[in-house]
Amino acid sequence: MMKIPHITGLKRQKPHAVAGRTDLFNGRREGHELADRLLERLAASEPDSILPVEFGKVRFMDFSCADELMTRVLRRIRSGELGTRFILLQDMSPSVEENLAAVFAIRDLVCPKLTKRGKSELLGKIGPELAETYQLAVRKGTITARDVMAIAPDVGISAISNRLAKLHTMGLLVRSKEGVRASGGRQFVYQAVC
Amino acid sequence: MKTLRVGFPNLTAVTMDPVFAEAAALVEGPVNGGAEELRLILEDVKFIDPYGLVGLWCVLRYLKRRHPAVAVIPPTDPELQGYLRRMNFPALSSTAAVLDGNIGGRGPSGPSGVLLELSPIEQQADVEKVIRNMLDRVRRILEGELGYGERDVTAFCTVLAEACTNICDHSADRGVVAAQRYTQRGGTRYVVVGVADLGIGIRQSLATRYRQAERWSHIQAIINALQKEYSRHPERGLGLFMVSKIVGAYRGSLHIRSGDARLYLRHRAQRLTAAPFPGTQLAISLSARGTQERS
Repeated sequence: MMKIPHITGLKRQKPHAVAGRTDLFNGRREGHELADRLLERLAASEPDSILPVEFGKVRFMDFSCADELMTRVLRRIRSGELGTRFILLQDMSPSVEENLAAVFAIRDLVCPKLTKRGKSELLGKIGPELAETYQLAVRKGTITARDVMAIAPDVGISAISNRLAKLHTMGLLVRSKEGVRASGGRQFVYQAVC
Repeated sequence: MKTLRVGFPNLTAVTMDPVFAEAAALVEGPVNGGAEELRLILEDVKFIDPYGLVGLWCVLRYLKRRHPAVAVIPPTDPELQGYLRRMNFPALSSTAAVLDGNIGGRGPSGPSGVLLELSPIEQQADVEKVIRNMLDRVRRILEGELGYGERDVTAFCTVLAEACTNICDHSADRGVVAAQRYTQRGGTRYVVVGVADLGIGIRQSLATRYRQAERWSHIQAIINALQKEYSRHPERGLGLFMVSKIVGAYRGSLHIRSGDARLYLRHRAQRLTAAPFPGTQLAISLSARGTQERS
């Protein structure tokens, strides 16, 4: 019988508000300052946590500022330098979301966001198989490769493991403690960053 | 006294180039017996678009480098006089030249029909001021007359922000920006934005990161500046790329002038020669939503 590991849920931190002197943000210099502040906050937060990043005070953010802010931060997260600390975007106006989405499309990035209705979605493009797997993790809370096989029976276990690993690399799934199968083989358990 | 008479009735991206050429010849030509006063004569001009306006601003500053006193003889056309007044041209050109003649009225008064008067760009705070102006004052015009929704207003502001921020980040100079909306004879509506500086130009700006850029032609430098990832700083360089993408999405056009080259982008890229002139000058046009494609 498979031993189910104890999964520590990702703790939600108190939100970090993107804010400056005014409600308009433009240029790389400003984006760099915003990134510095967010990275500082992230580094200081507990491991196994999600930091909601609020854009409610941002009326307009140009592309260069958004690029500097999000590319720096998401690449640091994806590199593993920040351990199990992640971000979630929320409270974006359509205008802000537009330019963030443009950044993500060009830089090949993706990040979880919370919609106004409290639903967890992704900003940025990922393939349909990856999206399906991520949404399964959001629904179930934690998933294993076998859970994914149940919704994609025609896909081999190796390909499914690759999907999970890819989502983990993208900072969308947290790989938590290994489970132990009856066969004795190792098994990773994944939790959605949301 | 020397004169530079502008013989074209319309000053736009196409017709400004001979003006740049004459100005360059006056500044860089031999000095005979000391610097002279100079008159820039605009009497015959009937129409100036935002690119023509920012181009004239560059010409006046450039002429001032050689000539201690530069005077502008204004156009005789009363409508154009009113336009220059509404666009704040007398105030912005006053540091380089004296307006030798009356263009009527006492300067811009209250909300005008233009989208953006000639505005200085020297630091990021100036860019912020322009964007706030767009969002606070011009949004209603963009939405009402051009059919722009929120996403479209964002795109327009992004184009302005990126083009103006390039002056602050890459030109090593200061610049100006202006914008105007037009309606063509078939009812097609569009906006034209002019952005210009007298700085180091695109090739030299790229050369601070890519040493091989020093060997590029000016046209190659412009083309590379429109590619992803070509910029002074590592992992950056998306400003002009984004402008070109948005222009494409709005069935518009992009005209970039730097060094001795011009690039015109509308559906496809056209390489054009240009008179050598310092700085970088841009003309960006964006169509209104739901209008027929401009011819």
